[in-house]
Amino acid sequence: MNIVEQLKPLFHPRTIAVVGASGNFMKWGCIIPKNILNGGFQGKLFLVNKKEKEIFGSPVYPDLKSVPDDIDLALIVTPASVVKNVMQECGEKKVKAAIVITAGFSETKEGATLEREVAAMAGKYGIRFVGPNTMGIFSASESLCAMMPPVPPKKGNVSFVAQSGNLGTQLLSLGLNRGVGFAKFVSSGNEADLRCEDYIEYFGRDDDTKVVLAYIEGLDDGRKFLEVSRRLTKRKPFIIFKGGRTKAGGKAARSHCGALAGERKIYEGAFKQAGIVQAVAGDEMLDLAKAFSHLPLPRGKRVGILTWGGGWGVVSADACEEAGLEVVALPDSLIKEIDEILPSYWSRGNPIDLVGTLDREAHRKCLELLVTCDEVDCVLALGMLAGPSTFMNLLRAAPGITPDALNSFVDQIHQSNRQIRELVLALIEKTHKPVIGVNILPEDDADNDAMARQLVMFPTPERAVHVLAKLCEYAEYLRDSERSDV
Amino acid sequence: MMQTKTLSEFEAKKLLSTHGIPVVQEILAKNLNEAKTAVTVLGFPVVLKACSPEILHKTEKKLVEVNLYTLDSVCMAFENIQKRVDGGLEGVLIQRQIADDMRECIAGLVRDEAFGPCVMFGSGGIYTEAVRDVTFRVAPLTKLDAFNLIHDTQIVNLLKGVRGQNPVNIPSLADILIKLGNLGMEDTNIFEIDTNPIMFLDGEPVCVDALVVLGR
Repeated sequence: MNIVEQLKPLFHPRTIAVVGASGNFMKWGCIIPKNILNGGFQGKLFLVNKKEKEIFGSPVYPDLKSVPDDIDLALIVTPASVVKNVMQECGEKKVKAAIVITAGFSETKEGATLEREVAAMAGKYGIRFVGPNTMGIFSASESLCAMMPPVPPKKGNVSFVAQSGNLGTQLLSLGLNRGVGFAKFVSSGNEADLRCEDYIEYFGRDDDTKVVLAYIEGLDDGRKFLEVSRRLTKRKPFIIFKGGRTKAGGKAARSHCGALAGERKIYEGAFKQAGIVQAVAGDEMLDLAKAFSHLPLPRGKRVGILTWGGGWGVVSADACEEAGLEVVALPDSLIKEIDEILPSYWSRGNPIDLVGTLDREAHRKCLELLVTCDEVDCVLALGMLAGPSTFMNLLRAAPGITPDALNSFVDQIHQSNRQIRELVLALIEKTHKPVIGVNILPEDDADNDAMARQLVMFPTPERAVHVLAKLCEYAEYLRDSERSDV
Repeated sequence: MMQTKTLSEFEAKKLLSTHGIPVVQEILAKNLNEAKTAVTVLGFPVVLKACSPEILHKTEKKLVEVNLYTLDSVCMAFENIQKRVDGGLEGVLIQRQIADDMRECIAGLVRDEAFGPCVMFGSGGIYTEAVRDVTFRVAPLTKLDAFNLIHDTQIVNLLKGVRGQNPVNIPSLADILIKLGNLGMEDTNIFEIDTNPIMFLDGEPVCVDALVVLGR
């Protein structure tokens, strides 16, 4: 059985049994089944506990044997000392996969032996399991929210494996605000059986997954990990956030090489080699996930910048140069065309400065010209994709404005917002070039419509440029690998 | 605790040379006569270095004499080095001196716990650890990996040729890095390798000094 078949009962279970279910709100045995039910799990959930007869109106079975159905996935929340026995029961019940939430295993020396025994028992029956010491999993297609946090993540096409449960689940909920949706998530725990490279390989072959994320602290088999990653990055973007102290190479190194070989430098080099996009913060990982899952890759590094205000243009151009992107010189023909649209004191170059014009049609025309220009591979649109909701608030407060006039004005604003957003999406579709926006005001998304959420926008030019640079870097890696494969 | 053994500079360079890595032309002289003969083979100028697996950081200990253009200066240098070493001297290395064009690189190999043999490249010379302009890639290296490794440093800007200097042969340099990686993959007895500095003779890279640590 390949990894896709092996993990099918984990991420696409029809039936789940929670072993160690509880009616006590403070216990995982209660929190997890409640979250599964609240999350709208499509399959059947069975509660198992020797000591309970009923929990919140649902029947509780004394053991797995007595559950009147086949069980695809077992969620184990019993104390560590009995997990091995539970795993045996799983084997006898022909359970296919398990998630061992319970902690207290190889985090301690005594626990390590226990963990090996659990793994051996699972191995005997061919059960693949997550953990132990995991915070659970999420699977969008089954609406399966088998995790600690009470709020299900947004659904989408990003799959994420985290070696830290709390960092992982926190990013899932941060993703809610950022418009980053997840297909699958797993907190890999102690990795006594399934390791991060197994999940990564699985995500690579999962049709629901378009972008892969990982939070990694340590790798047992770095070479295998790189092998799996290399295969993955040929087809899907892979973003990693590496945590863990920078181990100094010092020791008693006799060579310069030994002294300089810090863990961080080696991981950085290895990731670059495998085409992995490296983020240095959780936030950044989400920014990148949003961009990589929504935008086409640029065919080169030539950036066209369209800005409502001059200062942002300057800052963006600086950031682009520092990031190794080219703020390309505009062809004369394009300059002439824009001369017809903007006041004569526009910047007449790249960045295209809209010089604060409020003529939304001019914005749209310039945007279209820039995105469709052959010398431009990617575009930054600063300050014109989101409507100025602040102006609207000011107007509402102004004396002498009739409600009708105000409403009609507000409608106009919403209308032109929609138009420009439609245009961006249409241009991206037509040209296959990425367009990244920067909002005028950080929370300025007065419309908050579905279209706005499809756009990739950031509150600052620096963040937008950083993300664009990573898109370019990955695109270049793909081109380089294709060339050298020949 | 791992048992390690460090090869002498001479043995280290021989090892690299047998694997196709270009090293500086040199002869190990055990006495003054051998030193004189060596000079007739190598020509001037030469560098003299104390050679022994026990000696690291020779510069600080004044066990390197450079800019030797005459037989007399070679003889004096030879005797000085012998005097300054307390014993355990394998011999004195007589090396063809390569003109210093201010571009010194370092290349090496380490065994990482997670990734196994990894190749390092960057800015070399005595300030290597102070400047820290080095990058790593996991062996075995493809040509593209080696190219990227070189270009992932600051020193590559000097190698491309600035301020009137000629560019160096970067593919030759890449080849050294690939070979170091292969050496690490093939010979599991090798624990660490340093080649520092790598200098350039008519644009071609040459390993002027090398350190090899054996151990498992």
